[in-house]
Amino acid sequence: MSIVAAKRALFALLLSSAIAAPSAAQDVSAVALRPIDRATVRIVSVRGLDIRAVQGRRTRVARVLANPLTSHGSGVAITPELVLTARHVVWGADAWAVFPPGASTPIAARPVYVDPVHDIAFLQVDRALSHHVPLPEARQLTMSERVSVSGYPLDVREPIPAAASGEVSRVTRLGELHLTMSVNPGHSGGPVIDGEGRIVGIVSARGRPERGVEGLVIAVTLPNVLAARAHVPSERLRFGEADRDLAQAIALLISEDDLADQMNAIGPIVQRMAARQDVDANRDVLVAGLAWNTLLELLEARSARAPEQLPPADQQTGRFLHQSARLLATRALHQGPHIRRRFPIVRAIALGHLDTEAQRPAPFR
Amino acid sequence: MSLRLLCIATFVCLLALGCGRRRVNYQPTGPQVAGQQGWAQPRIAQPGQAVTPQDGWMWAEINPRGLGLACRMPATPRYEQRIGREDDGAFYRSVSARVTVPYGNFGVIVTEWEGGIVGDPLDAAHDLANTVFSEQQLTERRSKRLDVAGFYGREDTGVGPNGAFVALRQFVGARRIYVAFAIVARAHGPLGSAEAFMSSIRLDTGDAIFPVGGSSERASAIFVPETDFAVRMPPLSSRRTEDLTIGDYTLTTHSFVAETPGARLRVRVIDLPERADLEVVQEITQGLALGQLGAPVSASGFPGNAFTRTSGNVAIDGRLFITASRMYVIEAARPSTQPASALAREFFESFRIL
Repeated sequence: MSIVAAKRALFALLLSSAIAAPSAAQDVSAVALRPIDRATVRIVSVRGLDIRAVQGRRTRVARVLANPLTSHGSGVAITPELVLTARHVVWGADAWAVFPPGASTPIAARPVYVDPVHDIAFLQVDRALSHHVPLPEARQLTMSERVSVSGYPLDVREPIPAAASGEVSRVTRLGELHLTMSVNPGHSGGPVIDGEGRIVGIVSARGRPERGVEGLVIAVTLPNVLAARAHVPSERLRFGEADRDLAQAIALLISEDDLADQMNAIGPIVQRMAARQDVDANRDVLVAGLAWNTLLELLEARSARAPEQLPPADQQTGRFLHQSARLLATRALHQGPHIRRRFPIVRAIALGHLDTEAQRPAPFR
Repeated sequence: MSLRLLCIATFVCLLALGCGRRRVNYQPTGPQVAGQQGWAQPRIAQPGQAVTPQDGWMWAEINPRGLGLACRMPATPRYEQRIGREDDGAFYRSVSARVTVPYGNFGVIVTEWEGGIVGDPLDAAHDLANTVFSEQQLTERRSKRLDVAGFYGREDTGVGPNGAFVALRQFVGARRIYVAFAIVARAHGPLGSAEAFMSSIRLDTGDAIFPVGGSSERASAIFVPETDFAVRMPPLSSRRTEDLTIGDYTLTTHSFVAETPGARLRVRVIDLPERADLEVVQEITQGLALGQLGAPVSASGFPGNAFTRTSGNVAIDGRLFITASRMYVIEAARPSTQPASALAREFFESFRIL
């Protein structure tokens, strides 16, 4: 194909994308969001990076990918900078990111109050959210009253919240609000609202169908949420560039962006992280895992076993990703030995093994 | 019976030699303990018990180069080495030393990994003991934690179908896992030999999971896998596990202390009773007499409170964190006339619950 023909083909491709874009946007707006949906956010927590052994789809080389151990849930903005969610959505993690509805750009977040008794947590976000629904005063619920929930069930990449509806079943002697409805994993922490759009609780758990419990949702009641809200410190957390980079790294780890977008986004993050003086092992290893996965994706896309076999135009990027990933992983190992347990991939990255079955001498004397 | 003993010993060897195929642990390498010539010795179960090697047998001093383990065995052992690779391409090497004498079998297996251990070593040790005991149908099982400076250690003992006594000790270091076993007839002499063998094991503290002893005032990473926390603090000056009685509850408490001229840092991990509800947690918190709980804080998404109390000329700043099964109390003591040090701030900010 001549250069001119190639340019025409590229133009045609861009044109078809441009035409396709509005239709995709129309799909998104096919269902109108309620105010509560616009205030309902996606929360992703990262708990580690495991090893995933794979075979290169083109090179057939044995590789190990960084497999992010994430959990995701839902939350609702009750002020522009404060998100209410369930405690189990945030605990046991060291990095959190919040995504407003329809957004793929993450917002850095950290827990500011975690309730020791009830399944309640509050996250503060780095920048003001466009929509929020304030907590109302508590009121008495009515048996069989219609309620609905908003949240992000199942697919962590789905940017638009999903609704479920049902009715108030009872409030138990332990103070749990039981609802008759079906929700799915990912709905946790999402708001329960009444017919007038007021928050009456948050989703905490669901009945287990494998144990014969169906159509039951357990929620935290509004009075408990209000009591916990009173403990949220008034002092505001400060977020920095590293927090924003970490949130972006989380977004990239779970994204399905194409390779070019991924490489464009990751380069500056890796550079900034490698240059940081205030080293944080968790942060380093997450970014190392991201650089590592991107490198492996690049190698497979170009049918290369190692960075040296990449086309000249990609060699610099390949070497940069390989060296940066190794540097960050090695630095993380020295700073935080605990990451060996939570991030088992760190050893492979630090050793730099792009082909786990490559012949080489054993390093033992 | 000797054939049966041999079978169990072979099984343990095969399992432990193959343990490189499991995903196992790790930790940081630490400096050697001052005053111990670089060797940590496990404390034996009954320190007062007199044990001597079998009369008439020459015991051999075993100290294979580069394996970080030394011990005495009732005869010169036969060595075997196996090298393999993990899923992530890292090499591992297992070296075993085994002795068979008329009254029993003795062995040690040391496995080390290129680039150190990843995953959970405690789970691996637990799994190995479980597999040995279930596959070999051992009964009268007793398990206990061994107190070894800088290492995680556990012992499992039991009795085989033919009456053989089986002892399995495992130690987890930064780069290596050490497994020792003794399978002997249940008679005074052989049991004494098993005890003598086990108590002769010494580990190179250069492979310790975390730094112990020393007088450094600089913080380094400390990771204690069995209590699921990591923090930055100076090398530990003491580490204790003891029972704490509060009201009706007897609670296992692990303490990790580092002392510097200007500060005393302590992490206490308290195992809560099973299914402890809020009232129980509150009762235990009161029993700890931490002082007035202040601002809410969180670590790794777990809830907690800050607190400060004063005792004489000493002020103690602290944090209390609660998980489903444990309480973590981290404290920094300082002269009440001085503000909190940078070391204390680093200590609090670096605390992670895993």
